[in-house]
Amino acid sequence: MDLLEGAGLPAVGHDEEPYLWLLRVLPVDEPERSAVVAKLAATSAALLERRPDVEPTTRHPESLLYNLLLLCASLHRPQELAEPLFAIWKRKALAGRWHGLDLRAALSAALASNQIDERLWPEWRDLLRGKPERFLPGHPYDGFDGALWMPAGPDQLDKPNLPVLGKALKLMAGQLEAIRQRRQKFQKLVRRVLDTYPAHPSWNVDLIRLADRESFPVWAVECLPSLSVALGKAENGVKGYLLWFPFVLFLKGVTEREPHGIFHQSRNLCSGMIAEVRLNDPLRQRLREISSDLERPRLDLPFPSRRAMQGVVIDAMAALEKRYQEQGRTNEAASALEARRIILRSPPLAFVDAAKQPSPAQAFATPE
Amino acid sequence: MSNLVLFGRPLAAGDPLGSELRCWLSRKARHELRAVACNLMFDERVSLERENALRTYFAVARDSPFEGRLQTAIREYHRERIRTAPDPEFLDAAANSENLAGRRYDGIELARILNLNGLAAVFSAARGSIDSFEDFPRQIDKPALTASAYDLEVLRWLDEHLGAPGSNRDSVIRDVLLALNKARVEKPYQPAWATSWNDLAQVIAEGSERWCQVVGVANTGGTARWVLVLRYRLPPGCPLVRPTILDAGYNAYHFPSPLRRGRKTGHPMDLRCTPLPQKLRRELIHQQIDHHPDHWEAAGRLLDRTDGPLPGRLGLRRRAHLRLLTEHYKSGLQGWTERYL
Repeated sequence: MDLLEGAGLPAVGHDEEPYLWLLRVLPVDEPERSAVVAKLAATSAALLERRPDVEPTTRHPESLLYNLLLLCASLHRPQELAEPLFAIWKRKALAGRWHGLDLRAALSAALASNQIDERLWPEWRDLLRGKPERFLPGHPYDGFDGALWMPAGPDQLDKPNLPVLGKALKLMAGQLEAIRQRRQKFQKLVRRVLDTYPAHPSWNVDLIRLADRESFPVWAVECLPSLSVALGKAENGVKGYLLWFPFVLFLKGVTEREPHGIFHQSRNLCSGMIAEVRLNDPLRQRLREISSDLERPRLDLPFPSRRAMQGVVIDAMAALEKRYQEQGRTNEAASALEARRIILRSPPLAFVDAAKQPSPAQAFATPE
Repeated sequence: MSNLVLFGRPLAAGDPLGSELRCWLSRKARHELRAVACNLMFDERVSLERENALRTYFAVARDSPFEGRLQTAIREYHRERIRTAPDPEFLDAAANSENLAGRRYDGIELARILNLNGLAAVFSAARGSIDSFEDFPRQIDKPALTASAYDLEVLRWLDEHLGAPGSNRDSVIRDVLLALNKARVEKPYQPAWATSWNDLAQVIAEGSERWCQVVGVANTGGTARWVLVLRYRLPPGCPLVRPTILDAGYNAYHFPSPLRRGRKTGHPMDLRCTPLPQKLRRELIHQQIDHHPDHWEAAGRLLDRTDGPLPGRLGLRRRAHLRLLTEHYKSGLQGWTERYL
């Protein structure tokens, strides 16, 4: 407790809070680091169990609580900290501010990174929905943090909770819908998911499946890191893929012009934006050739509208057509041209029911 | 050490505060303890009233495994009477009259350097209310986050929002100042440290590390940091004050200035080591005020990323500063022996 109140800090002036200094002196190397972090977590848990939110014992309870809660938030030790933090949440007695931060927000950070199950999902969901605050203040990004770190159960602590992440991303897409930089902001959120669970082996596939299950809006699907995703290993020379609509158009065109291509489209996902297909080696080779020509501009697009994405794809197809012409590869050039024409005629970049197609005005509408 | 003094006044034999001071001055003590002890001994501009206030904290301080009672007293005094006080004690006309700069400095143009990395707590608190900070990193962003890893996340955020091509600096700086102004209303964070614009202007062209050296602010964060410069005048009725050790807290990088009638500024310890500094500059404090984007504009939109100056080399820096003070003041520094620096 003395340390968290600032005792023993170096003589450099006290612009930074004690908990940061404590974290700075932790060992860097394993296994020492984990041992010290565990010990610190146990000590913090003991401090939390003294109920400092309702029975303060220091002259500056707000400062102590701020530092203790943010220390807990940094430690990520649900084994020791989940229950005592949850007890503070249950009491709903925490109040006060330090450094302009509502202490309940510090509790929110501590809870988010020290969960052992899904009991706090209702809190995070309400934050994601931008609902008026329950006990924990905050905004949708705070709710996203909670969902990001929420395990399915005590035996899943280091694994992403995919169903919850899907819901959280969908809710954040809703929050970002009307924002001009929605693509960049959504991409950052997805990157955070990947950075938080780098060991998860199948993000590209799982994100598309989550987008399908949760019905992400079109622009959000277009923000996923890869829309050209291999599924498993090849069997009898044929391999499965999840492919974005423009890729499918191009490869279909190549198949129609060549006798040796094997292209089988089984089902559509994400409202027709993505197709599950099976390709043989010649078509896989074409896919490798064009993948970055479409993926890079898709991800770099700064503008929010569907028309902007359509323009990017049309430009990319035109560039492909030109490149293949220069190489004398007339089948591929013709396929790129045909794909471009189809996209120009039907603005949604998806396989859709023609009867349900929006009017040109709707298709070209930009968000407010 | 038989002539032990506190704030320039002899300590009575048996004074418990003196016993702690004696420990801090011993050769075995850490250098920073000796430095702070020196500050306490020689800062003659701390009034008897303020000394008595410090002693009330000393009287109730308890020993801890991490610091002695005197360090606790300095820390608690600073926290309650300065850092978080809406009317900090340095403004008390009775207790601190000697250090109020007076009308002579009315209207002086001041310069402040803001360490943006050091404002992470303020930006984090602004996440829900100020647009620029919507995605400001939180401490939970990585598992078992070290403070240095969080420092890196903060730096990465600042790099992205201030340094990347196409970043909208104007908007971010506007929001930085908004967050600062908002935070000070909710909880004061006193004082604001400033130098005169004329003093800082002389080194502007030398780059951001030099700006920080001149105002005596070391980079203790472990990563590069973004700093910006503000140029402004105080609103009417907001006094300027010469800082004392009690206003700086437990800080070995503060160096007291001699008591000299007519001289109403302190002097920041210039942290440059090669070559050693040749000039004293002015150091003043004031209570927090609102800052506006035009304070940044007036400074020439100065904003930069710097690694330095690094902490350490305390003895060298403090000795260099004492020599400058001796050259400048000629007298009034009796006893400010280098032995205790």
